[in-house]
Amino acid sequence: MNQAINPFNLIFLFLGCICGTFTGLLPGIHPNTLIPISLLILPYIGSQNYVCFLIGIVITHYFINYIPSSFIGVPDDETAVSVLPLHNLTLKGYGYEGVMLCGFGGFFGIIISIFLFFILLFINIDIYGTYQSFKPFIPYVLILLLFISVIFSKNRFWSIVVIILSGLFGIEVLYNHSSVSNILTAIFTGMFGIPLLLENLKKNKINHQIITFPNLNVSILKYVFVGTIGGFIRIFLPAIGGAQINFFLSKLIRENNIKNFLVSQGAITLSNEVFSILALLLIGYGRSGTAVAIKNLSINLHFNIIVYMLIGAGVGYAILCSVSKYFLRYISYVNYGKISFYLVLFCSAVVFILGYFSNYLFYYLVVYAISACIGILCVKSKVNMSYMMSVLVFPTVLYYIMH
Amino acid sequence: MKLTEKRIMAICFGAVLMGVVFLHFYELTPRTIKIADINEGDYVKITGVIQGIKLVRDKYRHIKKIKYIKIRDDSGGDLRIYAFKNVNKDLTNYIKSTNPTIKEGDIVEVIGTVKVYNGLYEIVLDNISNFKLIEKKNFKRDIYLSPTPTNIYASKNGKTYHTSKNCPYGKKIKEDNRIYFYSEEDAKELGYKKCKWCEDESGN
Repeated sequence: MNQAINPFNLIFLFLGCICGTFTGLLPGIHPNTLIPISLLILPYIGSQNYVCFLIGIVITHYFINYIPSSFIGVPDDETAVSVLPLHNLTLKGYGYEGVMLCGFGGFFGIIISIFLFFILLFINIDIYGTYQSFKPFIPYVLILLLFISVIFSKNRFWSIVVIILSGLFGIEVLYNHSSVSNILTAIFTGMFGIPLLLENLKKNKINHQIITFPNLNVSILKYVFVGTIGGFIRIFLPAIGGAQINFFLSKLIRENNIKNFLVSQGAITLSNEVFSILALLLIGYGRSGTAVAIKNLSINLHFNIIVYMLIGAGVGYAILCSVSKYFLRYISYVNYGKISFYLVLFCSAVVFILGYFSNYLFYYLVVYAISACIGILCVKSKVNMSYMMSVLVFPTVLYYIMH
Repeated sequence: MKLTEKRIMAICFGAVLMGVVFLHFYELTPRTIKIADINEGDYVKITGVIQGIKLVRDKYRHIKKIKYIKIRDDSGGDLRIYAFKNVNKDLTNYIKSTNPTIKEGDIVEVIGTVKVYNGLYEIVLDNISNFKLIEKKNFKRDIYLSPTPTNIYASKNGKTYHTSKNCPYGKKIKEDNRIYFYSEEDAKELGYKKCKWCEDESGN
């Protein structure tokens, strides 16, 4: 590390972790939505402090995001595959264990990612060149992955219906129309947030929660490693979300153990974000919204961001442990249906506000409504929610083939 | 009518199909705004004056490719317009479609989503129909080089042109380095100055 750790940077890292705690608890908020809002403070705190703030907010957000997924059943595109097993664990009274497993996977996923990054740096592999040579095959790999996921699905007819409807919808919104800012928030909130919240409206209470740390053994690290590799591979596959990578991994490794599955989930999401930011150091370009925001600052990045990421990971996991305990102590006393109702209103308000400021409110609301209908269809037909990621896959395949 | 699971699924399925068809025919209207008011992610229609066109020309100065077009409006802001692959070919043909070609000073209109790259605002054209000439203001003629030898020649690496075959300075220019003009006016327009020897020769 050729730059010292600046105490001011640490302060903004912790501030970012605190903000990430709040944003992670709010369903429907994606890190890519946070970034334009967070840019408001950039002129006041300077670029280096802003990078640390961004790292803190994004890493903690991804950790804390498992709480609404698990306890309320509201996933986003990252947690779509894990939400049902997590939520089912909560309904049985073991929500804390589920969240801890995802957090464990995320924390060690970050550590393994950093370790792998140094290996890549040491062997001096030309990642950019590899990516450029792989690029022409991307649409065919995406088609193959979709095909494999249909083959392995239990409910093939409805899986195909959901894939096709999501895909056609994605082509219309993301390929045929010019891109409207934050339209993905309307899509993901509608598809992944609203359907499960509507299902939860009928529930009043959930079971009393048992707050115990799960029994872990060393073999679980194998699944952290697999998830980390999945997170790394994902960098080369545009439009593929963490949920889909985990879905493919779960089919390829034939994993039926829920613990190992949740651990690999956590590893995929956090490692992908970390790899994306570290890619800025390797090749000067990163895929995630955070990496793009950091790149656009046009500052010299130093290896000390690795230390900030490790600290952010530790703080994020610690916050997850304590906040989830607090949530679970009181969740069995609250009216579940009422919380879900208010969350539906909150998510819809977020979409309404974003639509209003984009000057295309009617279009936003139409997209939101269609997304919610696709999500409801997916939930009612008991199809894996990750199939709705075709909303990104279809336009991406079309774009690569046509260009 | 009771809402059973099957009915809900049928309603959602129908709503999605109708919605996708509706979106297919629905057109987003770009906002007409000034360059100084744009933000990243805005879908806009901007009218401005071409401040500069970065071109790639062949050895006879025919336009081969457009790298980017820089436009400016009365708000003081400027914006770059890029096009890639087939759209770039269409844009190049469009620029060449008028006589003289579309140049600095002409007023154009562009529609697209504003992006930021390296701190500069830009619009990447996804269709040539999103770029239109509104008014031609610059009627300066296009200048091309002659593919066949003429009396007016220069070195491609210099800034002096010659009009005499006997010019001792002109004779030194290798054939591979020679460029030929159609007229002396062309040479002067491109910033070349007449060789003193040739000047005296033509004076005599």
